[in-house]
Amino acid sequence: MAKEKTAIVATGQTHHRSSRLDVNGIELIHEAVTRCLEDGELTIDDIDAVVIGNMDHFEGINYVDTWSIDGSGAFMKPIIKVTTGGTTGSTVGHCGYHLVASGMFDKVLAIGWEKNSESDTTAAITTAFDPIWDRLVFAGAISGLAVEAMAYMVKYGATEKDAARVAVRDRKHATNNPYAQLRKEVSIEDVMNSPMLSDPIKLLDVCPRTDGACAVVFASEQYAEKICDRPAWIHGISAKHPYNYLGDYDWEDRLPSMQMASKELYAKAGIKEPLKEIDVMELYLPYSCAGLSWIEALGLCGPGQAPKLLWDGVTDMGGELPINPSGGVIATNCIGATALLRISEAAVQVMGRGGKRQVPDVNTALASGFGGCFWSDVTLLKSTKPK
Amino acid sequence: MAKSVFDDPQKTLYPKLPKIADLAPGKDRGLVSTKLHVFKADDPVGPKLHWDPIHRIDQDPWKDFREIMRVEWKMEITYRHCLGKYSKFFIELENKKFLATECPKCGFVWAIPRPVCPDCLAITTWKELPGTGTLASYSISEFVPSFMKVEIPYVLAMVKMDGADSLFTHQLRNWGTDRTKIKTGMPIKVAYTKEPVVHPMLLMWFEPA
Repeated sequence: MAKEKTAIVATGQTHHRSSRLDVNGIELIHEAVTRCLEDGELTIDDIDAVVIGNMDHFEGINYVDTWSIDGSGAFMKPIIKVTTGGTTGSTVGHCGYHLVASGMFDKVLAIGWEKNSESDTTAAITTAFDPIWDRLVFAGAISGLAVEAMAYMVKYGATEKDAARVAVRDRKHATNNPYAQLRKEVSIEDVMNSPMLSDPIKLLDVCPRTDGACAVVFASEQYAEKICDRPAWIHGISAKHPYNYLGDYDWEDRLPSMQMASKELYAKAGIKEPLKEIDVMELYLPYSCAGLSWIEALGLCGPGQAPKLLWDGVTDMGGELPINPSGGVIATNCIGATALLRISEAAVQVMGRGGKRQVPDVNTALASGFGGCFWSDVTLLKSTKPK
Repeated sequence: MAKSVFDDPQKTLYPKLPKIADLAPGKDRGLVSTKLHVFKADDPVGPKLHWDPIHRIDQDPWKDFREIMRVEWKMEITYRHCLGKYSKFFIELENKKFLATECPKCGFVWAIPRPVCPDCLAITTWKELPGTGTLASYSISEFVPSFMKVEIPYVLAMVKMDGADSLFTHQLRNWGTDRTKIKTGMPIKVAYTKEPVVHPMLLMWFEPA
Protein backbone atom coordinates (compact mmCIF):
# COMPACT_ATOMS: atom_id res chain seq x y z
CA MET A 1 0.00 0.00 0.00
CA ALA A 2 1.15 3.53 -0.76
CA LYS A 3 2.50 5.43 2.25
CA GLU A 4 2.61 8.78 0.47
CA LYS A 5 -0.04 10.31 -1.77
CA THR A 6 1.70 10.87 -5.08
CA ALA A 7 0.97 13.06 -8.09
CA ILE A 8 2.44 13.87 -11.47
CA VAL A 9 3.34 17.56 -11.36
CA ALA A 10 5.28 18.18 -14.56
CA THR A 11 5.71 16.56 -17.97
CA GLY A 12 7.88 17.12 -21.01
CA GLN A 13 8.47 15.46 -24.35
CA THR A 14 10.53 15.91 -27.46
CA HIS A 15 9.21 16.73 -30.89
CA HIS A 16 9.10 13.20 -32.26
CA ARG A 17 10.35 12.21 -35.71
CA SER A 18 11.25 8.97 -37.51
CA SER A 19 14.85 10.12 -37.25
CA ARG A 20 16.05 12.99 -35.17
CA LEU A 21 19.37 13.37 -36.95
CA ASP A 22 20.09 16.67 -35.21
CA VAL A 23 20.67 15.06 -31.82
CA ASN A 24 22.29 12.03 -30.24
CA GLY A 25 20.49 10.01 -27.58
CA ILE A 26 21.77 12.06 -24.66
CA GLU A 27 20.66 15.29 -26.32
CA LEU A 28 17.26 13.75 -27.06
CA ILE A 29 16.86 12.92 -23.37
CA HIS A 30 18.04 16.43 -22.47
CA GLU A 31 15.30 17.95 -24.63
CA ALA A 32 12.53 16.05 -22.79
CA VAL A 33 14.05 16.63 -19.35
CA THR A 34 14.48 20.40 -19.78
CA ARG A 35 10.94 20.73 -21.14
CA CYS A 36 9.66 18.77 -18.14
CA LEU A 37 11.58 20.98 -15.70
CA GLU A 38 10.30 24.08 -17.52
CA ASP A 39 6.75 22.76 -17.23
CA GLY A 40 7.09 22.46 -13.46
CA GLU A 41 9.25 25.56 -13.07
CA LEU A 42 11.81 23.32 -11.43
CA THR A 43 15.57 23.06 -11.66
CA ILE A 44 17.51 19.83 -11.66
CA ASP A 45 18.49 20.61 -8.03
CA ASP A 46 14.86 20.03 -7.07
CA ILE A 47 15.05 16.40 -8.24
CA ASP A 48 15.87 13.75 -5.61
CA ALA A 49 16.20 10.65 -7.81
CA VAL A 50 15.96 9.57 -11.44
CA VAL A 51 14.52 6.50 -13.17
CA ILE A 52 15.35 5.95 -16.83
CA GLY A 53 14.33 3.29 -19.33
CA ASN A 54 14.82 2.19 -22.93
CA MET A 55 15.63 -1.02 -24.83
CA ASP A 56 19.38 -1.58 -24.90
CA HIS A 57 19.53 -3.24 -28.29
CA PHE A 58 18.01 -0.39 -30.26
CA GLU A 59 20.97 1.88 -29.62
CA GLY A 60 23.51 -0.74 -28.59
CA ILE A 61 24.27 0.99 -25.29
CA ASN A 62 24.14 -1.14 -22.19
CA TYR A 63 24.98 1.39 -19.55
CA VAL A 64 22.27 3.93 -20.25
CA ASP A 65 21.90 5.09 -16.64
CA THR A 66 25.55 6.19 -16.57
CA TRP A 67 25.91 7.17 -20.21
CA SER A 68 22.87 9.48 -20.20
CA ILE A 69 23.88 11.57 -17.14
CA ASP A 70 24.48 14.73 -19.20
CA GLY A 71 20.94 14.51 -20.55
CA SER A 72 19.09 13.17 -17.52
CA GLY A 73 20.72 15.49 -15.00
CA ALA A 74 21.31 12.57 -12.64
CA PHE A 75 24.87 13.65 -11.80
CA MET A 76 25.47 12.76 -8.13
CA LYS A 77 21.86 11.57 -7.74
CA PRO A 78 20.42 8.08 -7.33
CA ILE A 79 19.54 6.74 -10.82
CA ILE A 80 18.29 3.33 -11.87
CA LYS A 81 17.55 1.92 -15.28
CA VAL A 82 14.56 -0.33 -15.90
CA THR A 83 13.78 -2.24 -19.07
CA THR A 84 10.71 -4.40 -19.63
CA GLY A 85 10.32 -4.31 -23.42
CA GLY A 86 7.28 -2.45 -24.71
CA THR A 87 6.12 -1.80 -21.16
CA THR A 88 9.43 -0.07 -20.34
CA GLY A 89 7.79 3.36 -20.26
CA SER A 90 4.98 2.29 -17.95
CA THR A 91 7.44 0.41 -15.74
CA VAL A 92 9.54 3.59 -15.56
CA GLY A 93 6.39 5.47 -14.55
CA HIS A 94 5.37 2.86 -11.99
CA CYS A 95 8.90 2.83 -10.62
CA GLY A 96 8.85 6.63 -10.21
CA TYR A 97 5.50 6.28 -8.44
CA HIS A 98 6.84 3.54 -6.15
CA LEU A 99 9.85 5.65 -5.15
CA VAL A 100 7.63 8.55 -4.06
CA ALA A 101 4.65 6.55 -2.73
CA SER A 102 7.00 4.50 -0.55
CA GLY A 103 8.17 7.67 1.18
CA MET A 104 11.76 7.23 0.02
CA PHE A 105 11.94 10.37 -2.17
CA ASP A 106 9.82 13.52 -2.59
CA LYS A 107 10.49 14.41 -6.22
CA VAL A 108 11.43 11.75 -8.75
CA LEU A 109 12.17 12.33 -12.42
CA ALA A 110 11.10 9.44 -14.67
CA ILE A 111 12.49 9.30 -18.22
CA GLY A 112 11.67 7.04 -21.15
CA TRP A 113 13.46 7.39 -24.47
CA GLU A 114 14.38 5.61 -27.69
CA LYS A 115 16.37 6.48 -30.77
CA ASN A 116 15.07 3.84 -33.13
CA SER A 117 16.78 5.33 -36.16
CA GLU A 118 20.16 4.18 -34.84
CA SER A 119 19.58 0.52 -35.72
CA ASP A 120 17.31 -2.08 -37.31
CA THR A 121 14.23 -1.97 -35.09
CA THR A 122 12.84 -5.37 -36.05
CA ALA A 123 16.17 -7.13 -35.59
CA ALA A 124 16.56 -5.42 -32.22
CA ILE A 125 13.05 -6.41 -31.11
CA THR A 126 13.88 -9.96 -32.09
CA THR A 127 16.61 -10.04 -29.45
CA ALA A 128 13.82 -9.69 -26.89
CA PHE A 129 12.40 -13.03 -28.00
CA ASP A 130 13.63 -16.40 -26.79
CA PRO A 131 16.61 -17.36 -28.97
CA ILE A 132 15.48 -20.97 -29.36
CA TRP A 133 11.67 -21.07 -29.35
CA ASP A 134 10.61 -17.76 -30.84
CA ARG A 135 13.29 -16.00 -32.86
CA LEU A 136 13.21 -18.00 -36.07
CA VAL A 137 9.49 -18.58 -36.15
CA PHE A 138 7.63 -15.65 -34.56
CA ALA A 139 10.29 -12.97 -34.54
CA GLY A 140 9.64 -9.24 -34.61
CA ALA A 141 6.74 -7.13 -33.45
CA ILE A 142 4.07 -7.93 -36.02
CA SER A 143 3.86 -11.73 -35.84
CA GLY A 144 2.08 -12.11 -32.50
CA LEU A 145 -0.18 -9.13 -33.15
CA ALA A 146 -1.21 -10.49 -36.55
CA VAL A 147 -2.16 -13.86 -35.09
CA GLU A 148 -4.08 -12.13 -32.29
CA ALA A 149 -5.98 -9.96 -34.77
CA MET A 150 -6.84 -13.02 -36.86
CA ALA A 151 -8.12 -14.89 -33.79
CA TYR A 152 -10.30 -11.93 -32.73
CA MET A 153 -11.72 -11.36 -36.20
CA VAL A 154 -12.50 -15.05 -36.74
CA LYS A 155 -14.16 -15.43 -33.34
CA TYR A 156 -16.19 -12.18 -33.22
CA GLY A 157 -16.70 -11.43 -36.90
CA ALA A 158 -14.95 -8.07 -36.75
CA THR A 159 -13.57 -6.83 -40.07
CA GLU A 160 -10.41 -5.15 -41.31
CA LYS A 161 -12.51 -2.01 -41.88
CA ASP A 162 -13.51 -2.01 -38.20
CA ALA A 163 -9.83 -2.11 -37.30
CA ALA A 164 -9.01 0.63 -39.84
CA ARG A 165 -11.49 2.89 -38.04
CA VAL A 166 -9.11 2.82 -35.04
CA ALA A 167 -6.14 3.93 -37.14
CA VAL A 168 -8.24 6.67 -38.74
CA ARG A 169 -9.24 7.96 -35.29
CA ASP A 170 -5.73 7.99 -33.85
CA ARG A 171 -4.19 9.62 -36.92
CA LYS A 172 -6.91 12.30 -36.90
CA HIS A 173 -6.28 13.01 -33.22
CA ALA A 174 -2.54 13.28 -33.90
CA THR A 175 -3.12 16.36 -36.04
CA ASN A 176 -3.93 18.19 -32.78
CA ASN A 177 -0.64 17.15 -31.17
CA PRO A 178 2.36 19.33 -32.08
CA TYR A 179 4.76 16.66 -30.78
CA ALA A 180 3.40 13.67 -32.75
CA GLN A 181 5.44 12.07 -35.53
CA LEU A 182 2.68 11.29 -38.05
CA ARG A 183 0.38 14.29 -38.30
CA LYS A 184 -1.41 13.59 -41.56
CA GLU A 185 -4.96 12.26 -41.54
CA VAL A 186 -5.67 8.96 -43.27
CA SER A 187 -8.97 7.55 -44.53
CA ILE A 188 -10.44 4.06 -44.19
CA GLU A 189 -9.56 3.55 -47.89
CA ASP A 190 -5.97 4.63 -47.29
CA VAL A 191 -5.62 2.02 -44.55
CA MET A 192 -7.36 -0.72 -46.56
CA ASN A 193 -5.21 -0.01 -49.62
CA SER A 194 -1.89 0.16 -47.77
CA PRO A 195 0.54 -2.73 -48.34
CA MET A 196 -0.20 -5.99 -46.52
CA LEU A 197 2.43 -6.81 -43.90
CA SER A 198 0.99 -9.84 -42.18
CA ASP A 199 -2.64 -10.76 -42.72
CA PRO A 200 -4.80 -8.93 -41.51
CA ILE A 201 -2.33 -6.16 -40.58
CA LYS A 202 -1.46 -3.58 -43.20
CA LEU A 203 1.11 -0.80 -43.16
CA LEU A 204 -1.25 1.91 -41.92
CA ASP A 205 -2.64 -0.38 -39.19
CA VAL A 206 0.65 -0.39 -37.31
CA CYS A 207 2.73 2.05 -35.34
CA PRO A 208 5.82 3.67 -36.85
CA ARG A 209 9.22 3.64 -35.20
CA THR A 210 10.23 6.92 -33.69
CA ASP A 211 13.07 8.89 -32.14
CA GLY A 212 11.78 10.56 -29.00
CA ALA A 213 11.87 10.95 -25.25
CA CYS A 214 9.46 11.73 -22.46
CA ALA A 215 10.02 12.90 -18.88
CA VAL A 216 7.64 13.12 -15.94
CA VAL A 217 8.08 14.37 -12.36
CA PHE A 218 6.34 12.50 -9.54
CA ALA A 219 6.00 14.43 -6.27
CA SER A 220 4.79 13.68 -2.77
CA GLU A 221 1.78 15.40 -1.17
CA GLN A 222 4.07 17.87 0.60
CA TYR A 223 5.30 19.31 -2.72
CA ALA A 224 2.68 18.42 -5.34
CA GLU A 225 0.37 21.39 -5.04
CA LYS A 226 3.27 23.81 -4.58
CA ILE A 227 4.68 22.75 -7.96
CA CYS A 228 1.42 22.34 -9.87
CA ASP A 229 -1.93 24.01 -9.26
CA ARG A 230 -3.80 20.97 -10.59
CA PRO A 231 -1.64 17.88 -10.14
CA ALA A 232 -2.59 14.51 -11.58
CA TRP A 233 -2.91 12.27 -8.53
CA ILE A 234 -2.17 8.57 -8.91
CA HIS A 235 -5.15 6.56 -7.71
CA GLY A 236 -3.80 3.15 -8.54
CA ILE A 237 -1.54 1.15 -10.77
CA SER A 238 -1.56 -2.46 -11.82
CA ALA A 239 1.00 -4.48 -13.75
CA LYS A 240 0.34 -7.96 -15.11
CA HIS A 241 3.27 -9.67 -16.73
CA PRO A 242 2.22 -13.29 -17.22
CA TYR A 243 3.84 -15.95 -19.40
CA ASN A 244 6.91 -15.67 -21.57
CA TYR A 245 6.18 -17.74 -24.68
CA LEU A 246 3.59 -16.73 -27.26
CA GLY A 247 2.07 -20.23 -27.15
CA ASP A 248 1.08 -19.86 -23.51
CA TYR A 249 -1.09 -16.86 -24.22
CA ASP A 250 -4.85 -17.39 -24.51
CA TRP A 251 -5.48 -16.22 -28.09
CA GLU A 252 -9.19 -16.93 -27.90
CA ASP A 253 -9.67 -14.39 -25.13
CA ARG A 254 -8.96 -10.70 -25.54
CA LEU A 255 -5.65 -9.68 -23.92
CA PRO A 256 -6.02 -11.56 -20.60
CA SER A 257 -3.26 -9.49 -18.97
CA MET A 258 -5.24 -6.31 -19.66
CA GLN A 259 -8.39 -7.90 -18.26
CA MET A 260 -6.54 -8.85 -15.08
CA ALA A 261 -4.78 -5.50 -14.73
CA SER A 262 -7.84 -3.33 -15.34
CA LYS A 263 -10.01 -5.46 -13.05
CA GLU A 264 -7.50 -5.05 -10.24
CA LEU A 265 -7.15 -1.31 -10.93
CA TYR A 266 -10.92 -0.69 -10.99
CA ALA A 267 -11.28 -2.56 -7.69
CA LYS A 268 -8.51 -0.44 -6.11
CA ALA A 269 -10.03 2.82 -7.37
CA GLY A 270 -13.68 1.86 -6.85
CA ILE A 271 -14.60 2.11 -10.53
CA LYS A 272 -17.67 0.11 -11.54
CA GLU A 273 -18.56 1.49 -14.97
CA PRO A 274 -15.31 2.50 -16.68
CA LEU A 275 -17.01 3.86 -19.81
CA LYS A 276 -19.01 6.33 -17.70
CA GLU A 277 -16.59 7.05 -14.89
CA ILE A 278 -13.39 7.62 -16.88
CA ASP A 279 -13.13 10.83 -18.92
CA VAL A 280 -10.24 10.03 -21.23
CA MET A 281 -7.88 7.15 -21.99
CA GLU A 282 -4.36 7.13 -23.38
CA LEU A 283 -3.86 3.56 -24.49
CA TYR A 284 -0.78 1.77 -25.78
CA LEU A 285 -2.42 0.48 -28.97
CA PRO A 286 0.49 -0.58 -31.18
CA TYR A 287 -1.81 -1.53 -34.04
CA SER A 288 -5.37 -0.88 -35.06
CA CYS A 289 -7.12 -4.12 -34.04
CA ALA A 290 -5.90 -3.63 -30.47
CA GLY A 291 -8.24 -0.64 -30.39
CA LEU A 292 -11.09 -3.16 -30.68
CA SER A 293 -10.24 -6.23 -28.63
CA TRP A 294 -8.25 -4.48 -25.92
CA ILE A 295 -10.95 -1.93 -25.08
CA GLU A 296 -13.18 -4.96 -24.52
CA ALA A 297 -10.48 -6.26 -22.18
CA LEU A 298 -10.69 -2.90 -20.41
CA GLY A 299 -14.37 -3.51 -19.80
CA LEU A 300 -15.68 -0.67 -21.99
CA CYS A 301 -18.09 -3.06 -23.70
CA GLY A 302 -18.86 -6.75 -24.02
CA PRO A 303 -17.09 -9.30 -26.22
CA GLY A 304 -17.34 -8.41 -29.92
CA GLN A 305 -19.07 -5.05 -29.26
CA ALA A 306 -16.05 -2.80 -29.75
CA PRO A 307 -16.59 -2.14 -33.49
CA LYS A 308 -19.98 -0.58 -32.77
CA LEU A 309 -18.45 1.65 -30.08
CA LEU A 310 -15.84 2.81 -32.60
CA TRP A 311 -18.24 3.51 -35.47
CA ASP A 312 -20.61 5.36 -33.09
CA GLY A 313 -17.77 7.79 -32.36
CA VAL A 314 -17.83 7.06 -28.63
CA THR A 315 -14.02 7.08 -28.49
CA ASP A 316 -13.49 10.11 -30.78
CA MET A 317 -12.73 13.62 -29.54
CA GLY A 318 -16.12 14.92 -28.41
CA GLY A 319 -17.38 11.38 -27.74
CA GLU A 320 -18.33 9.93 -24.37
CA LEU A 321 -14.83 8.55 -23.73
CA PRO A 322 -12.15 9.96 -26.06
CA ILE A 323 -9.26 7.55 -26.56
CA ASN A 324 -5.77 8.78 -27.48
CA PRO A 325 -6.24 12.54 -27.91
CA SER A 326 -2.48 12.61 -28.54
CA GLY A 327 -2.78 10.34 -31.57
CA GLY A 328 -1.44 7.43 -29.57
CA VAL A 329 1.13 4.87 -30.59
CA ILE A 330 -0.05 4.63 -34.21
CA ALA A 331 1.18 8.22 -34.62
CA THR A 332 4.29 8.10 -32.41
CA ASN A 333 6.27 5.14 -31.12
CA CYS A 334 9.60 5.90 -29.46
CA ILE A 335 9.55 2.51 -27.76
CA GLY A 336 11.10 3.13 -24.31
CA ALA A 337 9.14 6.39 -24.12
CA THR A 338 5.88 5.12 -25.64
CA ALA A 339 4.17 3.86 -22.48
CA LEU A 340 5.50 6.77 -20.38
CA LEU A 341 3.99 9.10 -22.99
CA ARG A 342 0.63 7.46 -22.27
CA ILE A 343 0.99 8.27 -18.54
CA SER A 344 2.32 11.73 -19.36
CA GLU A 345 -0.49 12.48 -21.83
CA ALA A 346 -3.10 11.23 -19.34
CA ALA A 347 -1.54 13.57 -16.74
CA VAL A 348 -1.56 16.46 -19.25
CA GLN A 349 -5.30 15.88 -19.71
CA VAL A 350 -5.95 15.94 -15.94
CA MET A 351 -3.74 19.03 -15.52
CA GLY A 352 -5.65 20.76 -18.35
CA ARG A 353 -2.49 21.54 -20.33
CA GLY A 354 -3.40 19.72 -23.55
CA GLY A 355 -3.90 22.75 -25.80
CA LYS A 356 -5.60 21.68 -29.04
CA ARG A 357 -5.71 18.06 -27.90
CA GLN A 358 -7.32 18.84 -24.53
CA VAL A 359 -10.53 16.98 -23.66
CA PRO A 360 -12.79 19.32 -21.65
CA ASP A 361 -13.27 18.74 -17.92
CA VAL A 362 -11.07 15.73 -17.33
CA ASN A 363 -11.18 14.48 -13.76
CA THR A 364 -10.27 10.84 -14.33
CA ALA A 365 -7.82 9.46 -16.89
CA LEU A 366 -6.46 6.00 -17.57
CA ALA A 367 -3.14 5.17 -19.21
CA SER A 368 -1.99 1.74 -20.37
CA GLY A 369 1.27 0.12 -21.35
CA PHE A 370 1.79 -2.97 -23.47
CA GLY A 371 4.76 -5.14 -24.23
CA GLY A 372 6.65 -8.31 -23.48
CA CYS A 373 4.62 -11.39 -24.23
CA PHE A 374 1.31 -9.55 -24.30
CA TRP A 375 1.86 -7.85 -20.95
CA SER A 376 -0.24 -4.99 -19.63
CA ASP A 377 0.31 -2.11 -17.21
CA VAL A 378 -2.42 0.37 -16.25
CA THR A 379 -2.36 3.64 -14.32
CA LEU A 380 -5.32 5.67 -13.06
CA LEU A 381 -4.97 9.43 -12.57
CA LYS A 382 -7.45 11.87 -11.03
CA SER A 383 -7.66 15.57 -10.32
CA THR A 384 -8.68 14.84 -6.73
CA LYS A 385 -6.38 13.58 -3.99
CA PRO A 386 -6.67 9.91 -3.07
CA LYS A 387 -8.28 9.24 0.31
CA MET B 1 10.75 35.25 -33.27
CA ALA B 2 12.10 32.16 -35.04
CA LYS B 3 9.35 29.68 -35.82
CA SER B 4 9.99 26.09 -34.77
CA VAL B 5 10.21 23.70 -37.70
CA PHE B 6 7.91 21.44 -35.71
CA ASP B 7 5.06 23.92 -36.09
CA ASP B 8 4.82 22.72 -39.67
CA PRO B 9 4.36 18.94 -39.91
CA GLN B 10 5.15 18.98 -43.63
CA LYS B 11 8.54 20.57 -43.20
CA THR B 12 11.50 18.32 -42.61
CA LEU B 13 14.26 18.95 -40.13
CA TYR B 14 17.00 18.13 -42.52
CA PRO B 15 18.14 18.85 -46.05
CA LYS B 16 17.50 16.07 -48.55
CA LEU B 17 20.34 13.66 -47.81
CA PRO B 18 22.01 11.63 -50.56
CA LYS B 19 21.48 7.88 -50.62
CA ILE B 20 24.25 5.99 -48.87
CA ALA B 21 24.87 3.90 -52.00
CA ASP B 22 25.54 7.06 -54.01
CA LEU B 23 28.32 8.23 -51.76
CA ALA B 24 31.91 7.57 -52.82
CA PRO B 25 33.82 6.64 -49.65
CA GLY B 26 37.04 8.52 -50.46
CA LYS B 27 35.49 11.59 -52.03
CA ASP B 28 32.19 12.31 -50.32
CA ARG B 29 32.97 10.93 -46.91
CA GLY B 30 36.27 12.64 -46.26
CA LEU B 31 38.77 10.86 -44.07
CA VAL B 32 36.23 8.77 -42.13
CA SER B 33 35.26 5.78 -44.27
CA THR B 34 32.12 5.04 -42.22
CA LYS B 35 30.89 8.60 -42.41
CA LEU B 36 27.40 8.84 -43.92
CA HIS B 37 26.65 12.53 -43.84
CA VAL B 38 27.68 15.94 -42.71
CA PHE B 39 24.82 18.37 -42.94
CA LYS B 40 23.24 21.36 -41.29
CA ALA B 41 20.14 20.50 -39.30
CA ASP B 42 17.37 22.72 -38.16
CA ASP B 43 16.15 21.88 -34.69
CA PRO B 44 13.19 22.35 -32.43
CA VAL B 45 13.22 25.58 -30.52
CA GLY B 46 10.34 25.89 -28.13
CA PRO B 47 8.95 29.19 -26.89
CA LYS B 48 11.23 31.01 -24.50
CA LEU B 49 9.65 30.88 -21.08
CA HIS B 50 10.17 33.18 -18.12
CA TRP B 51 11.56 30.09 -16.41
CA ASP B 52 14.97 29.32 -17.85
CA PRO B 53 16.77 26.45 -16.14
CA ILE B 54 19.00 25.66 -19.16
CA HIS B 55 20.33 29.22 -19.47
CA ARG B 56 18.74 29.88 -22.84
CA ILE B 57 20.38 33.18 -23.66
CA ASP B 58 18.35 33.84 -26.78
CA GLN B 59 15.57 32.30 -28.84
CA ASP B 60 17.96 30.06 -30.78
CA PRO B 61 20.26 28.53 -28.18
CA TRP B 62 21.69 25.90 -30.56
CA LYS B 63 22.86 28.21 -33.36
CA ASP B 64 26.51 27.22 -32.85
CA PHE B 65 25.70 23.50 -32.88
CA ARG B 66 24.03 22.95 -36.23
CA GLU B 67 26.55 20.82 -38.12
CA ILE B 68 25.68 17.15 -37.77
CA MET B 69 27.74 14.11 -38.70
CA ARG B 70 26.45 10.55 -38.89
CA VAL B 71 28.44 7.33 -39.18
CA GLU B 72 27.58 3.70 -39.84
CA TRP B 73 29.16 1.13 -37.56
CA LYS B 74 28.38 -2.54 -38.00
CA MET B 75 28.83 -4.88 -35.04
CA GLU B 76 28.59 -8.62 -35.34
CA ILE B 77 27.98 -10.65 -32.23
CA THR B 78 28.11 -14.44 -31.90
CA TYR B 79 25.98 -15.81 -29.11
CA ARG B 80 26.30 -19.27 -27.54
CA HIS B 81 22.85 -20.13 -26.25
CA CYS B 82 22.55 -23.06 -23.84
CA LEU B 83 19.28 -24.98 -24.15
CA GLY B 84 19.55 -26.40 -20.63
CA LYS B 85 16.99 -28.90 -19.33
CA TYR B 86 14.68 -28.68 -22.34
CA SER B 87 17.45 -29.84 -24.70
CA LYS B 88 15.78 -33.25 -24.76
CA PHE B 89 12.92 -31.84 -26.82
CA PHE B 90 15.29 -31.11 -29.69
CA ILE B 91 17.33 -34.29 -29.24
CA GLU B 92 14.07 -36.26 -29.65
CA LEU B 93 12.96 -34.15 -32.63
CA GLU B 94 15.90 -35.69 -34.47
CA ASN B 95 14.26 -39.07 -33.67
CA LYS B 96 10.97 -37.72 -35.09
CA LYS B 97 9.34 -37.60 -31.67
CA PHE B 98 7.40 -34.58 -30.40
CA LEU B 99 7.62 -34.19 -26.62
CA ALA B 100 5.79 -31.98 -24.14
CA THR B 101 6.04 -31.71 -20.37
CA GLU B 102 3.28 -32.45 -17.87
CA CYS B 103 2.96 -30.84 -14.46
CA PRO B 104 2.48 -33.51 -11.76
CA LYS B 105 0.62 -30.99 -9.59
CA CYS B 106 -1.89 -29.29 -11.90
CA GLY B 107 -1.76 -31.75 -14.79
CA PHE B 108 -1.23 -28.98 -17.38
CA VAL B 109 0.62 -30.19 -20.47
CA TRP B 110 3.02 -27.54 -21.79
CA ALA B 111 3.58 -27.87 -25.54
CA ILE B 112 6.56 -25.55 -25.39
CA PRO B 113 8.04 -27.91 -22.81
CA ARG B 114 9.08 -26.55 -19.41
CA PRO B 115 11.30 -28.30 -16.88
CA VAL B 116 9.30 -26.31 -14.29
CA CYS B 117 5.57 -25.56 -14.51
CA PRO B 118 5.19 -21.75 -14.73
CA ASP B 119 1.93 -21.92 -12.76
CA CYS B 120 2.95 -24.29 -9.93
CA LEU B 121 6.76 -24.12 -9.99
CA ALA B 122 6.71 -27.94 -9.77
CA ILE B 123 9.21 -30.07 -11.69
CA THR B 124 7.45 -31.60 -14.70
CA THR B 125 7.74 -34.94 -16.51
CA TRP B 126 8.27 -35.58 -20.24
CA LYS B 127 5.29 -36.79 -22.27
CA GLU B 128 5.34 -37.85 -25.91
CA LEU B 129 2.53 -36.38 -28.03
CA PRO B 130 1.27 -37.73 -31.38
CA GLY B 131 2.54 -34.64 -33.24
CA THR B 132 -0.87 -33.68 -34.60
CA GLY B 133 -3.13 -30.77 -33.75
CA THR B 134 -5.39 -28.00 -34.99
CA LEU B 135 -4.63 -24.48 -36.18
CA ALA B 136 -5.62 -22.11 -33.34
CA SER B 137 -4.75 -18.92 -35.23
CA TYR B 138 -2.41 -17.84 -37.99
CA SER B 139 -1.24 -14.99 -40.15
CA ILE B 140 0.07 -14.95 -43.70
CA SER B 141 3.05 -12.68 -43.44
CA GLU B 142 4.31 -10.68 -46.43
CA PHE B 143 7.11 -9.22 -44.38
CA VAL B 144 9.73 -10.95 -42.25
CA PRO B 145 12.83 -9.67 -40.46
CA SER B 146 15.78 -9.37 -42.82
CA PHE B 147 17.81 -12.08 -41.07
CA MET B 148 15.11 -14.72 -41.55
CA LYS B 149 15.98 -16.64 -44.69
CA VAL B 150 12.47 -17.75 -45.61
CA GLU B 151 10.23 -17.44 -48.62
CA ILE B 152 7.43 -14.89 -48.60
CA PRO B 153 4.54 -15.31 -47.97
CA TYR B 154 5.43 -16.91 -44.70
CA VAL B 155 2.68 -18.48 -42.58
CA LEU B 156 2.85 -17.91 -38.83
CA ALA B 157 1.01 -20.79 -37.17
CA MET B 158 -0.29 -21.11 -33.64
CA VAL B 159 -1.18 -24.78 -33.11
CA LYS B 160 -3.13 -26.56 -30.37
CA MET B 161 -1.27 -29.86 -30.24
CA ASP B 162 -3.36 -32.94 -29.50
CA GLY B 163 -2.73 -33.87 -25.86
CA ALA B 164 -1.36 -30.43 -24.93
CA ASP B 165 -2.96 -27.52 -23.08
CA SER B 166 -0.80 -24.65 -24.33
CA LEU B 167 -0.13 -23.68 -27.94
CA PHE B 168 2.96 -24.24 -30.06
CA THR B 169 4.26 -21.61 -32.45
CA HIS B 170 6.00 -22.41 -35.71
CA GLN B 171 5.71 -21.81 -39.42
CA LEU B 172 3.25 -23.64 -41.66
CA ARG B 173 4.90 -24.94 -44.82
CA ASN B 174 3.73 -26.96 -47.84
CA TRP B 175 0.24 -25.45 -47.80
CA GLY B 176 0.12 -25.30 -51.56
CA THR B 177 -0.77 -22.15 -53.47
CA ASP B 178 -4.34 -21.45 -52.41
CA ARG B 179 -4.12 -19.25 -49.33
CA THR B 180 -7.89 -19.36 -48.78
CA LYS B 181 -7.47 -23.02 -47.77
CA ILE B 182 -5.58 -21.95 -44.63
CA LYS B 183 -8.28 -21.75 -41.99
CA THR B 184 -8.50 -21.58 -38.21
CA GLY B 185 -9.39 -25.08 -36.95
CA MET B 186 -7.75 -27.00 -39.82
CA PRO B 187 -5.85 -30.19 -38.90
CA ILE B 188 -2.09 -29.83 -38.65
CA LYS B 189 0.82 -32.23 -38.26
CA VAL B 190 4.45 -31.87 -37.35
CA ALA B 191 6.96 -32.44 -40.17
CA TYR B 192 10.60 -33.25 -39.47
CA THR B 193 13.62 -32.24 -41.50
CA LYS B 194 15.74 -34.73 -43.39
CA GLU B 195 18.44 -32.16 -44.17
CA PRO B 196 20.91 -30.67 -41.67
CA VAL B 197 19.80 -27.30 -40.25
CA VAL B 198 21.56 -24.35 -38.57
CA HIS B 199 19.15 -23.91 -35.67
CA PRO B 200 17.38 -26.54 -33.51
CA MET B 201 13.96 -24.99 -34.11
CA LEU B 202 14.35 -25.73 -37.84
CA LEU B 203 14.36 -29.48 -37.12
CA MET B 204 10.56 -29.29 -37.41
CA TRP B 205 7.75 -27.26 -38.90
CA PHE B 206 3.98 -27.60 -39.38
CA GLU B 207 2.14 -28.89 -42.43
CA PRO B 208 -1.56 -29.40 -43.20
CA ALA B 209 -2.49 -32.93 -42.04
